[in-house]
Amino acid sequence: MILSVPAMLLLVALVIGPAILVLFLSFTNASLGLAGIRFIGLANYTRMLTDPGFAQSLRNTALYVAVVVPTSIGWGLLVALLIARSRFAVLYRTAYFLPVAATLVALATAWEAILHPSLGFANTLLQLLGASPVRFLSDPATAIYALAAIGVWQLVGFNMILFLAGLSTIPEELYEAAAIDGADRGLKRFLLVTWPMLAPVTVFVTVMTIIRAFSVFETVAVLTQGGPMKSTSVVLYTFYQEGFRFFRVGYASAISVSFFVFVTFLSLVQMRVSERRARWKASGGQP
Amino acid sequence: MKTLAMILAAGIAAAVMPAQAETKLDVYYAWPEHEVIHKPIAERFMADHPDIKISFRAAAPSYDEAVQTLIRQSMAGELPDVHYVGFNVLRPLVTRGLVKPIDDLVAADHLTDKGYTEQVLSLATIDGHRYGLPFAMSTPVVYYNADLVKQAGGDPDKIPADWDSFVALAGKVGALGKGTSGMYYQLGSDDWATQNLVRNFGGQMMNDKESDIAFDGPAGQAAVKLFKRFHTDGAQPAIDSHAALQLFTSGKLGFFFASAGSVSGFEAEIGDRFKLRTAKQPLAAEDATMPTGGMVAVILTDDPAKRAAAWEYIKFATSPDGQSIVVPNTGYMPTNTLALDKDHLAGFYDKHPNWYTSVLQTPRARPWFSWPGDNGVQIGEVLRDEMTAIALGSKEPEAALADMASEVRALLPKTD
Repeated sequence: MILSVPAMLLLVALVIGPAILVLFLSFTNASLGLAGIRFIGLANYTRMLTDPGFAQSLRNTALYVAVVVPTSIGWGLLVALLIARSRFAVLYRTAYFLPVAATLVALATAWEAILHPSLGFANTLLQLLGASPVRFLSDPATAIYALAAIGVWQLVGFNMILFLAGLSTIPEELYEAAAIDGADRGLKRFLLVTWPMLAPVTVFVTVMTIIRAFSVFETVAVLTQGGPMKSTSVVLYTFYQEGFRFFRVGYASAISVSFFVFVTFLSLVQMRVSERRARWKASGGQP
Repeated sequence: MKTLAMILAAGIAAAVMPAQAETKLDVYYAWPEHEVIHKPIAERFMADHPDIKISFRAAAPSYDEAVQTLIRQSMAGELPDVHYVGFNVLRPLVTRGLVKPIDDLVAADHLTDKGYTEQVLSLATIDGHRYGLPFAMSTPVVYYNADLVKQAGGDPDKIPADWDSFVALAGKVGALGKGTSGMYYQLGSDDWATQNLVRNFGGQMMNDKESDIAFDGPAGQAAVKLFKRFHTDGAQPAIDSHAALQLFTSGKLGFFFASAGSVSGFEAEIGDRFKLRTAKQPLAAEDATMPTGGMVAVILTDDPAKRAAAWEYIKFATSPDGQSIVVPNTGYMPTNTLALDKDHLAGFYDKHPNWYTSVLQTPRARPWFSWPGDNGVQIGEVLRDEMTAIALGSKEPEAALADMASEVRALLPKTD
C-alpha cells in the first residue's frame, strides 16, 4: 500500500491533475497569456455545436476514419494470412513494419514528393496508365483521401504484426480437426477456424485502429495544415489551432474534453459489441 | 611592503572586476536557418563588449511558434532578454504586455541621426510608442526563370511593370508545354500576400481609425479579380505553395512571388539549373504600397543593467556592421540606410543585383498591417482560405471577397 504512494503521486501530478485542469478550463474563457479567466459555463460547448469550422473538422475526421479503419484492418489481415506461411515471411514482415517504426513526419515529407501534382511519382504512374493527373494534396476533393492513403500505409504494418501474433497462437490441432471435417483449405477453413480464433485480436486491432485514426494529426500538420480550404482540418488539428495558434485555451479544452469522451465511448461500444460476438462465436453460434 | 599591497590590490581588482561587470543576455529568434546571421553578429558584438555575454536559446521554427513559446515562458517567468519578433506578431506581444515601449532609449540616443529613418522606425511603432528596432526587412519580389522567359519571347531584362502585360507573358510561359506553368502568386500561411495585392491597387486592410475594414472597396475588388486572372490567363496552377516552390526550383515555372528574404536560399537551391533573376512587382496604382515582412529586435527584460546591455546589442545588430552580416546571408533589406554606403553593402549589391530589387522597392514599404484584437492569426487564415477558393475556381472573386468581409468583421473587436 505504502509502496504505491510515489506512483500514485506521480499519476496525480502528471495525468489526473492536468486532466482535471483541462476540464476546468473548458468552462472558462481562458486565453493563453492574457490575464483574467472568467467562468462561462457551457458556452464553449454550445459554441462547438454551432461552429461551422468544427462541424467541418468532424466531417473530415469521420471521412478519414471511414476509409482508414476498414482498409487498414482488412489489408493487414490479408497480408498476415498471405505471409504467415511464406518462406520470405521475415522479409515481408520487415517491409510492412518499416512505416510503423519510422518517424511519420520524415516519411510525410517523402510522401509530399511522391504526391507532387506535376513532378511526383504518383502522377507519372497515373499518366503511364493513361489516367489524367490528380492534384492529390492541393485539391480539396482529394486531399483527405490522399492523407487517408498515407494513414492506411502506416497502419497496415502494425495491424499485420498483431494479426501474425494472433495466427501463431491458433493450435495446429484445430486445423487438423477442420481438415477431417472437410474444411482443409481456403475460405472454408478461414471461416471455420482462423476467423473465430482471431476474434480477440481483431477486437484489439479494431479499437486501436479507430483510436489512432481519430487522432490523426502529424500528416495534416506537416502536409496540408488543414487546407486547401479546410478540407483536411481534422478534430485534433482544429484543437491545435484553437489552443496554440489562436490561444483560445478555453475552447480548445472543450474540444479536447469532448474528443476524450467521444473516443472513450466509442471504444467501449466497440468492445462490448465485439465481446458479445466473440462469446456468441465461441458458443458455436448458439445465441 | 607598499608594492606588495599594490599587487594584492590589483589582483583582487582583477579577480572581482569581470565578475561584477559581466552581463549575460539570453537571445531568442525564429527560423533555425537564421543561425548564419545571429551567431556572427553575437561573436562580433562580444569581441567589442567583453563585459557582455550573449547566449542563444534554441530557435523557434516560425514567428508564430516563437510567440507561443514566449507567452508560455512569460507565465513561468523565464522570458529571454532579447527576441527577434516577426512584424505581424509584434502587436499581440505588446497587447499581452511582454514587450514594453523603449521611447526613452530611442530619444536619448538620437537614432534618427544614425541611419534609422522614420519610415523604418515606424515599422516597430504602435499607437505612437516605439517597441524595438527593425532588424531585417523584406518586400515581396518576383523571382523568375530567365531561360523560360526568353523561350516564351519575353525580354529577361525587362519584366513588364504593369499587370496586363505581366499576366500575358506568364500565360505565354505556361503555353510552352512540357509541364511548364506560367506563374505562382504565393499565398503563404498568413495574410501577407493578400495584403500585398490589396495594397498594390492603393488600398488598405482597414480604415485609418481602424473602425471598419476597407479591403472590400474598389482596390480589394480589383485585387481579387486580378488574382483570378493569374489562374485563368497567367497559367498559375492551383496547387499548394510547397508544391509550387518545388516546381519553380526544378525549372518548370516562370514566375514565383515570394519574400526578398529568400534570395540567398533560392540561389543556393537552384544553382546553375537555370538563370534565376528577380524583378520588382508590377504595380496597379500610383499610390501602391507593400507590406513589409521581416523582424524587429525587442527587449523583454526589465532588469536595468540587462536592459542597457540589450540596447547596445540590438543597436549593434541593426547598425551598418550588423546589417552587413544580415543582408548577404539572407536577402533581407538593411534597416539602416548607412549600411548602403560603399564601406558596407554597396559593393555587394553591385555584384548581386538579385539582392537589390527589394531595396528599389523600399519607398513603397509600409508596416505589415496587424489586426486589432486577439484574432489576427485567424483573420489571416480566413483571407488565405477565401483566396484559395478563388484559385480553385470554387468561388467567384466577388463572392469570396464578400465572404471575407463578413467573416473578418465577425472576428474583429466589437466597436460601439
